Amino acid sequence: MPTLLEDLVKESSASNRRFADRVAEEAAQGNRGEVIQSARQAADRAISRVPEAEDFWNEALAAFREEPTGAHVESLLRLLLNSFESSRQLVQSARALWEVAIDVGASPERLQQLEQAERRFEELASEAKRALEHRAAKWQPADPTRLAQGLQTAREGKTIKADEARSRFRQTKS
Amino acid sequence: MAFFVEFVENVLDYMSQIEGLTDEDRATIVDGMIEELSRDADRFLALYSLTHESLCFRYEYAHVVQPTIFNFDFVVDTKDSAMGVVRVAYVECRVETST
Repeated sequence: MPTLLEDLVKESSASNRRFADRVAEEAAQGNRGEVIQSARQAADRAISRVPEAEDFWNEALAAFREEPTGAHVESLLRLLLNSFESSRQLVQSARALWEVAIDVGASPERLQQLEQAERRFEELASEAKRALEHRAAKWQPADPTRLAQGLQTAREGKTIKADEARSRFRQTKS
Repeated sequence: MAFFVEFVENVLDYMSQIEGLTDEDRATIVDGMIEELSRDADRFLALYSLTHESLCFRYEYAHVVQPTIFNFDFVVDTKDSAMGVVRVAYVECRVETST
């Protein structure tokens, strides 16, 4: 059974895509009387998706820390990726509608915030994609024996502190 | 939460033997790792965990010395992450040269 978070993410993606399609229609029609108001609404909606995306991501990270592997983790990562991409699509639709509004004489509003929102959605999508790639790759060390020894040494606490590690290469530099 | 980052000696030994890197490069890599791991180790653990019990994660780091890219794969142990310590336990490096 899907978790509540999965349902929320799915619903948000579907809503983003519906809204983005609606905004794209509005841009294609370009009714002078309505386009400015619609552009404002589209920008508000798109920018409001950022804190929601951050909340989804933070909740997912907390869940992955508890249980980092398994089919449900990959399923949630895919849903999140889809959601971040749908949010990005929504931002792009809002920006396209603002271009129409500017053409009919409106002064641009919140374009910088839209740009920041798009950048953040790209970052989140890229993180989700990398985590999926990591799971698909099933990475194995080239030298499993050395890894086992390294882990054992680390767990025995026989390690070098950060400052000493830093100074090791600086000392030998000259 | 900020983490203290520690290294197994073999990791530093391995790094010191990689040809094509100066000690300045190695110091830069160690600095970059410490900065990133101390800030983001819990995020890396969530996203790049290597075991079901969630005790270690893979950490990738790239360093460029034109025209060569040094792609590092580290394994970081998080057994004591609740006490704010993560330990770099393993490293391997692939070298690519762009043409």
